[in-house]
Amino acid sequence: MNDMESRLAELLKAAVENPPDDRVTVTAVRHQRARRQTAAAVGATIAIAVLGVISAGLIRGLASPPPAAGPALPAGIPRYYAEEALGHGGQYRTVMRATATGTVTAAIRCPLPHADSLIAPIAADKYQQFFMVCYAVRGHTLTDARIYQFRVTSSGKVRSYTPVRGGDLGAVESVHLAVSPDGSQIAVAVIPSTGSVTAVDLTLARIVVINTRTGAQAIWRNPPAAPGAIRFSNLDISFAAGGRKLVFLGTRTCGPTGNRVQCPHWDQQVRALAPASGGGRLSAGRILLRRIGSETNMIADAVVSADGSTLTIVTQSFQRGSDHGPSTLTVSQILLATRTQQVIYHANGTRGLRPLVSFNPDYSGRHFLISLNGWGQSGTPAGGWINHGRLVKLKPFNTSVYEAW
Amino acid sequence: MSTEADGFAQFIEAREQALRRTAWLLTNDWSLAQDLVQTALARSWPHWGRIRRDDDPEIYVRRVMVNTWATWHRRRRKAAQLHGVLAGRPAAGDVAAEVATRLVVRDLLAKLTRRQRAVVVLRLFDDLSEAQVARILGCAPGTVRATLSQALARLRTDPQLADLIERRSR
Repeated sequence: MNDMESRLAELLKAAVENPPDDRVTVTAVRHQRARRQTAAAVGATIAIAVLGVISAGLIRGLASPPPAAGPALPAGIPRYYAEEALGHGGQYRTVMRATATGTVTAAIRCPLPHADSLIAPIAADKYQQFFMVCYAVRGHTLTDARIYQFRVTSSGKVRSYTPVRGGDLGAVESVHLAVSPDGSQIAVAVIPSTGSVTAVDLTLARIVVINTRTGAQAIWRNPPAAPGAIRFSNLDISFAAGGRKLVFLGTRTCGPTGNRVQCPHWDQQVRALAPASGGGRLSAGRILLRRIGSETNMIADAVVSADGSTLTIVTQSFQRGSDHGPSTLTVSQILLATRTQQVIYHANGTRGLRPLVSFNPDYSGRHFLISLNGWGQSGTPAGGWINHGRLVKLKPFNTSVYEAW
Repeated sequence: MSTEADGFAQFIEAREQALRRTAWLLTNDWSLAQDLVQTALARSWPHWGRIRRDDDPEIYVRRVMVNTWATWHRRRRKAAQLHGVLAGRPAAGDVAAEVATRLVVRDLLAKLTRRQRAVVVLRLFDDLSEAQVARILGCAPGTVRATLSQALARLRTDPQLADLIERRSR
């Protein structure tokens, strides 16, 4: 090897010095082999069946219906997503739909006694194991919130509803949910209910990480109100590095209860916590991103990729004094190592867009479902999944209020 | 578990990480690298008995891996171009120098043709002989030598490479 070759070899070795922990195992290889064999066998059977159906169809002048999952999607795009729509009588209806065709493949129900029709948030791990928050209602009061899990089969059917160990959240005002890629941990950002319907204390917001195998919980909270105390409200969460990091977006709040921000500046921060540390203060998290500015240009959501390298943020800008919804919505990705930023989706609304209802990543944090279908709002609706700068509309369009995969 | 299955499991245990590193240098993406190694192993497994008897398992798996990557490369070229910013993302916890090295190596390899890239990775990173690389790529050893020479000529004038070598030698 000459000098140039040796130096290049050394660089190649340095570049791959620290591979991630996700090892290829014998079990995974066997499963893949089994899937290939099953797919081949099923493919052959289907080919014969399809030939028969087409022949019969041609004879009868009929075409065969498309399969539930429909045409092939780009690599990595989940084949099914959960959708919540507001139906007649103000009742929510939650179903699984095929991403490509919009075909309903299953209805999702809450096993909780006295369950409300509202089921949200919902999130999935890489094995198509979905987690959802169900609410119990007595009269007009939410009395309990509990996390359940269910499995979605390769044909989009829903199987095996199970309550998550440690997933009883009690009465809450709001919940955000994140699932580690392997489903071993879930995190919720919650505001516990104080019983008051008029005064919600946003600074009670906390993040709870639940070990789904043992039910053990680790909790991160705000410190008590005091001069100089760093406290956050409006928490949003996502996992990175195989569940070893938990990243949250929070808005600095300086008021006694967080109902009014009262800080000198609009200050939003994205910080990383280590779930292994067992809990503590939210302010102990390492700052990944900080935006100081104005409420008219705010970060509405922030999601970290599963490997922790990329932060995806949704920013909304509002025209000061306007009653309309946001005038722009931008989804950008920031490479945390280099701070390089790239816009992956941008929307303008001359009369204002509808407000962002949900922005949900898949388990990898690389594919996003976005919904601006806030009902009862004027402005341009938009919803779908982001594909190379375009929004691929879901079918049917403009009927749902929440989507997750 | 049979002896054959034992041998396959031992091979994965021993070589998985090295294969994944090679796969990253080919794909620029740890997730794709994992998929590539897993696919290559799944394709090799049914023939494991014959491979152990008649062939070198390491060479065989790498051959399957490079061929699979070539197929993916053709299919995914367009998507990869559009996904440029995401490809080869540095992993969490990387220190700045490591990230810089990784980004430069990614850019350098991207400047090579598919065959040049495979030769550089197999010959220089995996330290395989010209004959072994030729067996993996299905060509003559002379072609490997010539391809490596062309690849090095293309990289030699690259200012990024010169800069990185200089920084690392300080």
